[in-house]
Amino acid sequence: MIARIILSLTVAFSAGVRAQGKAVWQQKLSKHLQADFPYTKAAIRTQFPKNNVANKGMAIIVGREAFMCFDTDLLRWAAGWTGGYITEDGVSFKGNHGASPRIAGEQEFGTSPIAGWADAKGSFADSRPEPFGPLPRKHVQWLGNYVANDQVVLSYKVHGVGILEQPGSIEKDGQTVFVRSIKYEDISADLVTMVCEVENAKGGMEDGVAILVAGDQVTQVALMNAPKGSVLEVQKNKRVVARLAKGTKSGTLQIHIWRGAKADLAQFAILAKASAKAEFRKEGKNRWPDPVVTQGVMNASKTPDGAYVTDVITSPEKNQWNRRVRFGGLDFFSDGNRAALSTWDGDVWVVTGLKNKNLKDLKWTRFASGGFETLGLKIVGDVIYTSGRDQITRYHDLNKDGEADYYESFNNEITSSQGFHEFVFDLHTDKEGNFYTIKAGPVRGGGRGFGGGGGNGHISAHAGSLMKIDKYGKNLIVVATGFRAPNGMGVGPNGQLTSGDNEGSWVPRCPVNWIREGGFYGVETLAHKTSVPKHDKPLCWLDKGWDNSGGGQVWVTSDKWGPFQGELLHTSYGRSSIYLVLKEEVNGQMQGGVVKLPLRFTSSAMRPRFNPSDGHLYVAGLKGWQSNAARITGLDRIRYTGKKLYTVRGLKVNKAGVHLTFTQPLDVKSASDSENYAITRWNYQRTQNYGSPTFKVSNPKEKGSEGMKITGVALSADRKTVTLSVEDLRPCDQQLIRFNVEAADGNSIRTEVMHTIHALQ
Amino acid sequence: MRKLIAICLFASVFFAGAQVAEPQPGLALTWRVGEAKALTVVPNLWLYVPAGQSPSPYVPTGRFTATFEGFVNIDLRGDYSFLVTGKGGVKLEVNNTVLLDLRGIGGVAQAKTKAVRLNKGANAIKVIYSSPSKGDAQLRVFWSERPEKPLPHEPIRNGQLTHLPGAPLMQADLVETGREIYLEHRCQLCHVSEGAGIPELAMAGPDFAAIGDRRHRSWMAQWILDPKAQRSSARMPKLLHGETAPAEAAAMAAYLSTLKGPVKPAKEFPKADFEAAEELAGQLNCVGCHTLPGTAGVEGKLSLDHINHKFPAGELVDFLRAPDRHYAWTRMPKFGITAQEAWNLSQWLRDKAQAYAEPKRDDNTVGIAHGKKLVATRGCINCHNHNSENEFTAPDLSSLTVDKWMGGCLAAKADGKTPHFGFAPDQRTALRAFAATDLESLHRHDPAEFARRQMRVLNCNVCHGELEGFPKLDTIGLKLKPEWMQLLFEGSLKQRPRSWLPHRMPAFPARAKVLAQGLAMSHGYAPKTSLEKMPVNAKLAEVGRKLVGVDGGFSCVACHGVKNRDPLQVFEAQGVNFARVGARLHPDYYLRWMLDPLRVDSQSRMPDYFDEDARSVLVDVLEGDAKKQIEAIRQYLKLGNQMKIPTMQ
Repeated sequence: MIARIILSLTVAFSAGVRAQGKAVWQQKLSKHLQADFPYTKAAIRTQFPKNNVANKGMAIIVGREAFMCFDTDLLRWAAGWTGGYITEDGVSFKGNHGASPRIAGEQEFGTSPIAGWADAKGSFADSRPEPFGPLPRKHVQWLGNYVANDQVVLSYKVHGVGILEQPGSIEKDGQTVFVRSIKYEDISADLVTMVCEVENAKGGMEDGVAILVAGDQVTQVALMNAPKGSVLEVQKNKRVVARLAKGTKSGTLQIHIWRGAKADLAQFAILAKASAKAEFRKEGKNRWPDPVVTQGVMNASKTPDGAYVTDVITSPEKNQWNRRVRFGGLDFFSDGNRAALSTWDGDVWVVTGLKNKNLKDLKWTRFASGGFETLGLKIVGDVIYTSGRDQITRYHDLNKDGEADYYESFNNEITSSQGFHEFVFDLHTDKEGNFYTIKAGPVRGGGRGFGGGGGNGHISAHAGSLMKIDKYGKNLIVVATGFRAPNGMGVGPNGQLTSGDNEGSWVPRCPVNWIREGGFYGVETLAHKTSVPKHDKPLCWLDKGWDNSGGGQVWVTSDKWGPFQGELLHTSYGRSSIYLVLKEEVNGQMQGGVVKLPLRFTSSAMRPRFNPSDGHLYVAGLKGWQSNAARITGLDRIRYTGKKLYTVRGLKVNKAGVHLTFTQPLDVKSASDSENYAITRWNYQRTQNYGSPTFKVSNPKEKGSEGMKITGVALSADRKTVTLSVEDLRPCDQQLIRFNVEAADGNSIRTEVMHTIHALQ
Repeated sequence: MRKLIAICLFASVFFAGAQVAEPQPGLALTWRVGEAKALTVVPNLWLYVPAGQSPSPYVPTGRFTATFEGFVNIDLRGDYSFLVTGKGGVKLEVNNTVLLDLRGIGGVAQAKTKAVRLNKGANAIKVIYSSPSKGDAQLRVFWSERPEKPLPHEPIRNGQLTHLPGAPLMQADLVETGREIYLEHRCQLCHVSEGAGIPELAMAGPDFAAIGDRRHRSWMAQWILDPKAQRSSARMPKLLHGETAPAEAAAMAAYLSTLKGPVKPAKEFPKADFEAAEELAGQLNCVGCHTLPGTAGVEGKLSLDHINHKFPAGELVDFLRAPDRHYAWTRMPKFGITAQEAWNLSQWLRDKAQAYAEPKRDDNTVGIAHGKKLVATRGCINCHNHNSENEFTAPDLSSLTVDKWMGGCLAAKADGKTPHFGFAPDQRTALRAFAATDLESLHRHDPAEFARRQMRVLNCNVCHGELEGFPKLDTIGLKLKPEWMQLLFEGSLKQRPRSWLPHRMPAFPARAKVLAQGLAMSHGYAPKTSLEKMPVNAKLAEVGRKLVGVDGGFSCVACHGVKNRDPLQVFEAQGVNFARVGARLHPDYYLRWMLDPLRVDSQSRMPDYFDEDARSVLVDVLEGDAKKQIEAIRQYLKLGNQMKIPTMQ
């Protein structure tokens, strides 16, 4: 049995994790949750009041066995509880579809999902157009949080008044008092904060203490160090609020919240008067000073022609914190020697040593934690930004000790409900500095359809949308809609937006989307329009064997990466593959296809990025849902060796035929023989069913595909471009070209091109 | 990743102009036993003939040769190698070059050819197989389109094998058709002297027990009067002709309606749920074989408009639940639906069908006696089980010379008292072609041939290859072990292997055993799976358990359940529970499937974890060797219900 902490004279203020021996909940804590970081972000389910879920919850450890959950949308304390932390329910924790974590102890207080601070009219009513996303900024504004050792300080504004709030607790003799320590600026408007709600209660004020009685249980709230004019009120027999009077000069106060049996009232009377120290510290010492050192592996795989090789930037999969590492975001610092990677589990890692010879002694350090499924990362001006389900976070290492101190909410306008599938994928900027991220639809457990509530979530405003956030983080706008599960996107040097998607309802196969502003990319239930818009056709579809779950795209910005500068690359999360995109514009419609760069990755391929410093391509990935990825995470470098490359690099389709351009001159005899080429084609149907069967192009009602007759082959003067004359060539969703030809130097070129024809000129 | 979408179709464009006759699917096969010879068309290069069984109904038992001839079609020039598995002698020629000539393979053995370049389009192929001097005959010819890769050979896809039909083959086809008509119409039940061993010879018609409860009298009268008028595919002949026919039919129906069973207790059902019924009808794919009441008729499908006329109240429920109760060999599948489901479905169908009220009639004892006499004298009891004197006789088959196959029950027009089938001219031609043979084929049962025939009769392809989760059946015997198929066809599996699929595989209990054996044999597998000599390698199985798990494995458990544990996070594509895999799959198929699922089923959502060099993405387990890892998982799967749960989070 663990000894209770003995408190003398003053009751020590405690927040975060205690050094003295582990509490029972810590010993039992499941492996995918951490006790050595003061909070976890998730959609947190509580025990009361009814329907009390913090869609953007921060479950904060505020004592040895005390916890509080803050809701960053509503700026309310959704719950305080004792005993255990949270369950590991949820797709990013134990992997289940549906339910998210719920509080794992005994709940002591709670509020319903309404505003945590009253609006200008004094009302707590939820004024949002739908119960998702943040309250209007003129009412409240979430700014972010500081992490200083084991303490968390929340920063926000209410009616323009800056507030710092530090949650904590007083734990003594089996009683727990939850403490909200609030540091306010000069109060220029009446501020009223919701403290707690108790259903079916009776209550009132007694000696300045607010009391709500429900059955045998009593909830009491007291103010400590309250400035003049600041009072508690009991409203409607169920609610305690604290009122801070307009005109109060900056200062601090504490709200003490306790629930217990009537018999224990006397104890609260003592504890309520105990002082609790809150320092509102903004920086702490690095909790992860020791790096993980790994050794890279050179030339782990290569293309058959040897032109490209992969090197493994061995990840810190094994680490002293037993932290699961699943990379979901990647970018480079300006020195080119360091990269930052965010994980699905909410961490940010920094790797140092990309310039090390043969990738020896790579140093991995932890930089930040606690994020809400941070599946995108971007570095701007050597400052790290991540995209998560709750917000875009900008990280500040205030004391330059290598650990983030301030987790600034750069923009939190994005809507998020409880759905397990509401992934927010990737983070990019364009040359103007605008940010882009893309959010999945709330796919139901099982894979078909969207929303429906509970763990499946709701179709909130940003479900299935690509969003743009200006460089200052002020405004978020929807650029395009109708995405299902686009695990990655791309922004071209000229600002061109692209994305992949995942086969499912309304997505017959994985597309490579070429995105225009205002575009609609297929999922009718996520169109966010009163009538279903016209479907903006993708650049191409990819059959299952090529991509069953798309990753991100990257444009080749490097001149050290072979002949492909200016080209677009697409990754497949599901097939752990990378493709060169072959594209052309016909009558304003982009079309084309892909050819595979046959390389192997440590894990999936979903975040391709060029390191401007060395000109190599780096690909990060994770394995968290269906994929043929090997390890749970990986970071690989694709390096061009300078050897001759044997593949296809161009595709055009017009009435004259199919034109394939190769990287090497071809052998005339081999390349001119139609027996060395085969073409098949088929169509899909875009419906609410999961994916689509294949249908014949010549008879759309008949399932299957059809072989095409190649009536002639012509080779260009430079022997690099082959033109295949094809009988009955016409627009189709999918066409597969296979060939088995020889280059002029005798090397075999045996590969395949998967493409789409929208129009024939 | 190798993609083979293109290969599974072969484009007929290759043949345009090149051949005179249109190539047809499958290969021409010539059986020879001594001097005897028979021709047929088979879909593939596989056979299994147990010792003592004739290889085909049209040749006697004995050592035989089987010569397969035709073309193998590809759409891209490439290098291929062939793999022969079996017992006996094999000579394999492609494009007139002998690639393999083995006098005899002792025991089950394998031989592989060198790589040979095949042209785009049709390549001539000829395989001469000779049965071994003793023991069962067995052959499977597979191929590989990447012979330089360490990957297993695989079946040549159905559409890729073709042959050119000629007059002898067409004649053989006519004989086969005639024999099938003979068997399907139960001719042997009247013309008794010939035939043995073939399951159809034991197939009777519906039992007369309690027929008076189960069918309306007026419907029976109508049916007896002219079965084909009620259902164009009816097997029952028209028994009554001339002016007296309606009265006689009424009399027979009157008699049959007196055949009552014990009084059934009235069953109470809640109000039928039509919405559920409609959904169920979709799940059972009733429209695969039927047209629903109130919808337009479709050639070849049985309309259900008549169900109120046919079934007395309550009887449709019993029929839907167990269509085989009074007719073991019914073509109607047994879906194992619940009483409530059957009630919903029957009421929904009845509601849509033409309303009907059976008129009340006083029993006419004279009519009944007359009907009884007719039942006894017109041949009913030859097909329908009925505990009563049978006074009908028909000429023995041995007395029916070929010319007599043009008259009597096979005549163009009905006459006199002879039952009359009303066959179409092409059916009559086929029957006569069959009649012209020595009819020895009625003594020779080949389960493989039976299976092919029954798959036609039972309309298997209405669902398989069409409905989601119902694979095409052209390679099913390469995949499923016969013992498992038998349980599946019997309907005796405790759980459906893919219970999440909306559609359900029905049972055909009476046919289950032979159908399963026949499917195995037609794919070159023994009708009984030989037991593996080696026990489960516990050490390897433990590696396998890690490989299927989440932590450091392939996370197979994301989509596959294990024993009583549900899969972790299925999106659309649930997989079969691991406890059942060992009993279901042939190891060869399992290996091919694991290496590249999309090559086996281009619509599969199973990920591939291995590349074309048979290397695994998990490089640090069993040297990253795909085949070793797959074998480790197989050892684990072999444990069935004894398996330990892998890491599932």
